[in-house]
Amino acid sequence: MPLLTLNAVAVSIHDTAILKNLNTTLDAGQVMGVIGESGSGKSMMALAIMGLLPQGSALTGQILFDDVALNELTEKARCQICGDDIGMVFQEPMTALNPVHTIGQQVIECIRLHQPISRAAATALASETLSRCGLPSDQFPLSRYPHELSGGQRQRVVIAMAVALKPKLLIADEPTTALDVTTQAEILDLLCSLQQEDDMALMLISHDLAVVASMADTVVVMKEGVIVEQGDIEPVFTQLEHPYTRALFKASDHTPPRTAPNHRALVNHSAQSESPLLEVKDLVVAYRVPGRGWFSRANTFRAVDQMSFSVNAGESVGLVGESGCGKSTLTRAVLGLMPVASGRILINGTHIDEGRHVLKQVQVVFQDPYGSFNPRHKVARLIAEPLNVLETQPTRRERDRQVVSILEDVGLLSSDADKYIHEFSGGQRQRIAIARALITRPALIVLDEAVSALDVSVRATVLDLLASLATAYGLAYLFISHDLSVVRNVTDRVLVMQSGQLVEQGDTQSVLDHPTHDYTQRLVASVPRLPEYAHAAIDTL
Amino acid sequence: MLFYFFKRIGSLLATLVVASVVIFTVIEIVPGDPASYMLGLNASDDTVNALKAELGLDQGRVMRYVDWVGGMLQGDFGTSYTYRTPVAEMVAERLTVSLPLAGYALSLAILLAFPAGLFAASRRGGAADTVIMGITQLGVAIPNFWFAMWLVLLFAIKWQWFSAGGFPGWDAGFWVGMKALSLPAIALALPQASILARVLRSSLLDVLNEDYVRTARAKGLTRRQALWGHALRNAMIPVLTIIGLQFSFLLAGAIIIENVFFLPGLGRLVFQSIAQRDLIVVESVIMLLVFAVVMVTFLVDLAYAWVDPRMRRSH
Repeated sequence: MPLLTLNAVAVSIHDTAILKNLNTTLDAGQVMGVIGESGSGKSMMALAIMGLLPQGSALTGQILFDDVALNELTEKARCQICGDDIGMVFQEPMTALNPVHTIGQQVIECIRLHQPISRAAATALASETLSRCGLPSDQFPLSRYPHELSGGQRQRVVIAMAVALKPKLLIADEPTTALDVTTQAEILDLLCSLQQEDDMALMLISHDLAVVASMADTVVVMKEGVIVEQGDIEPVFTQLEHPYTRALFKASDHTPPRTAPNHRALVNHSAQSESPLLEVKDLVVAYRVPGRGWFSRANTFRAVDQMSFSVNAGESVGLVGESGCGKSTLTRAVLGLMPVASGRILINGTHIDEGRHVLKQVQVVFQDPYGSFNPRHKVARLIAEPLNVLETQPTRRERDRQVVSILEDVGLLSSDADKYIHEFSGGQRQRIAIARALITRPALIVLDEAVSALDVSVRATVLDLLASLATAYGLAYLFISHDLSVVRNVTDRVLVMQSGQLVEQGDTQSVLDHPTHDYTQRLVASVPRLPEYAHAAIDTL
Repeated sequence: MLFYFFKRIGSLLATLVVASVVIFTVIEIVPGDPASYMLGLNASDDTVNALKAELGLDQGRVMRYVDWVGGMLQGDFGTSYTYRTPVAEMVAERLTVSLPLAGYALSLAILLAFPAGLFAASRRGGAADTVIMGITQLGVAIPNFWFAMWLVLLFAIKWQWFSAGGFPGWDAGFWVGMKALSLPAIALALPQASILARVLRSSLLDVLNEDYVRTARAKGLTRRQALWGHALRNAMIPVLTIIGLQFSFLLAGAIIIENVFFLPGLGRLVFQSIAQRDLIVVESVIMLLVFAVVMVTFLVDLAYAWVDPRMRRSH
C-alpha cells in the first residue's frame, strides 16, 4: 500500500484552476522526483499536501497519507501530522528561518511540539540532529542565530527541523536551487544519506533534470497544473515519450548555433587599436570592514585581489565561481560603478575613468527580469534611456526608429514599445533588458547571471538570441554564471574565480574537461550530471 | 552587544549637546526682553538694568550658555522670571502629573491596541477585522478634546462616576489620584491605541507572509501558534518605534486635554511661560523634553536589540 496517494486532487485559487486532476502515489522509502517549469504547479502540490495553500484556495479530491485523508482533517489533527510524519524543506534558506530565534530554539520547538519530552531531552535530540545534518555543536552551538550562518548551513538547519522526528515523508521543494554548485552537491548528499538511513520517502521537487535523475526512483512531469507523464525514472528518461518531457531535455542541454561574428561589425569596434576590447590589469577592489573592537582600525577586505584578464572583440568569455567569490564586485568595477583600489581597467586601450564615451562601450544585463525595470515607464523609454549618456543625442524620431529596430532584433514587436513592463513574461523582460543594453551599440555586454532565473525552454531561446546578436552586432560577452553547463555551451574561454582571485583560465572545453586547479576540479565534480541512459536518449533527439 | 550599548550612549550625549545649543540659540533670537516685560512698560532703564544683572542677562552669550548647562547638570534650572521660584521645583511638581498621565495613557493604549491588532490580523478580511479597522479609523479621526468633552458629559455630569476635572494631588492617596487621571488618560489613549492597533495589524500581516512563518506552519504549528510564536516578535520593530514616539508626545503634547480637565501638567506650564516671556522656564522644559525623547529613543533602541539579534551587531 502506498504511503501517499493523490486521488483526483484539484486546486483552484479564486476560481482559477491551479492544479487539475492529479493522480499519483509514493511508496514508503521511495524517492519521487517532480519536474516541470515555473507555473507548472510543483510547489502548489507540495503546499496542498502540507495544508499550506494560500488563502482563498479550494481543494477537491483526496490526499491520502497512511490511509488518512489529510484534506478532511481539522487544522489541529493535521498539524499533529505535519512536522512529525511529514517534514518539508523549502527553496529559500536565507528567509526560511525565523531571524529572532536561535537555531537550537527552532529545532527544539519542532520536537517539543510533537513529543512530550523534557526540554533537556529535546535539546539533546536537537543537537544530535543538527550534527547529523552536518552542523556539529562544537562548531555550531545551538545558540547561533540564522544570520550567523551561510545559505548552505541555514538549509542544513531547515533540514534538521524537518527530519528531527524521523518523518515517513520528506518534501523538498527546490532545496538546492538557491545554492552554489558545491553546496548543492553537499546538500543533495545529505538528503540522500538521511533518506537511506531513516528509510523515509522523499518527494524531490526540482527544475533540474540532472538533480532528479541522480536521486529519484520515480518521476512525475508536470505542466500547467497537470501531470503529463509519470513512472519509474529510467523508462521515462530513456523513452522520452511525452513531447513536453522531450522538450525539457532538449532545452536543458541547449547549445545555441554560434557562428563567427560578422567581420564588418567587428572592425567597427576595434578599428582604433590593437589592444584587446577589455583589459583588466592587476585589479584590486576593496571594501572597508569596521574593526571588531572599540578602537581597532577598520580593516579592508579585498573582494577582487590582483586580477588580470582580457576579453577580445567578438569573444564570449565565461566567469564562474561561488557566491561571495567577488564576481559581482568585479562586474561593478568593469561597469565603472565601483571605485578601484589599484590596477587598471582598459576598454580598447582607454582607461574607463576617461569618461562616458568609454563606458558606453560596455552594457549589462542583470539576473532579475522583474526588479531591474522601473514599472511606471513604458518600454520605449526604458530601452532608450542609455542614449542619454551619449554626447550627441539622437533626435526624437531617430530615437523611436532605433527603439523599434532593436525591439525587432530581440524578437519582440514594434508595438511593444508602448506597453508597460508588467505586461511581459520573464523571458520577454530579459529580451527587453538585452534591447536596453544594445541601444548604445556597445562592444561588450556583461551578462550577470542573465539566464539563471529563466526556465529551461525560455533560457534556450534567449541563448539563441544572444548567439545571433553576437554575430550581427559583433558583440563580445562576459558571461557570469554559476551554471557550468550553460557556460560550457555558450563561451569560448572561461575564467574561474575563487576568493577574489583568478585561479584558472583558458579554453572553456579544456578547462571544464581537464581542470588543473583543485578548486575548478571540485566545481566541475559538483555539477549534477544526467545518467548515461538519458544521454543516449538525448543524442537521438 | 556591549559595543552597541555604548555606541547608543555616545549618540545620545551628542544629541543632547546639539539640542541644548539649538534651544539656547533660538531662545536668544526670540524678540522680547524678560526684564522689561517683568517690570512693565513704565520701568526706568536703571531698574531694568539692575534686574538684568540680577538675572545674569548682562553677561555674554557664551557665558550664559555655560552657566545654563552647568546649572542643569547640577539640577539647578534657574529661577523663573515671573514666579521667582526655582524652575526645577515647578517642573518637578508638574511632572508628578504629566509623567503618570503619559504612562497611564500609554499603558491603556497598549492594552487596547495589542488584542485589537492581533485579533484583526489573525482574522484578516473577516468581519472582526472590518469592525476593528472601522473603529480604529474613527479613533484616529476624532479630535481628542471633543471625545474628552463627551467623556466629561457622560461619566462626570450624567453618571457622576468621576469628577469633571482638577487634580487632588497624590497626597490624597494613590487611587484617588489615578481616578482623577482616568478620564484624561482614556481621552489621550483612544487615538494612540487606534494608531498602534493599525500599525501592529499591518506589520503582522507583512510578517505572516514571510517564508519563516510558512516554515513554522510546516513544523506543525497551528495558524494561531505561528502568529504568537513567530510573527509577533518580528512584527514588534515598527510597533516599538511608534510606542516611543507616542510616549514623548504624551509627555508634552497633552496640553489640550490638560486644559479640558484643568490638570496642572507640563503642557500648561509651557503654554503659560511662553505667554509670559518666562524664557528660562521654556528653555528648561524644552531641554527636559528633549532629554526625555532622547532617553525614550535610547530605550527603544535597546528594545530593538532585545527583539532582533541582528541589530546587536549593527555598526
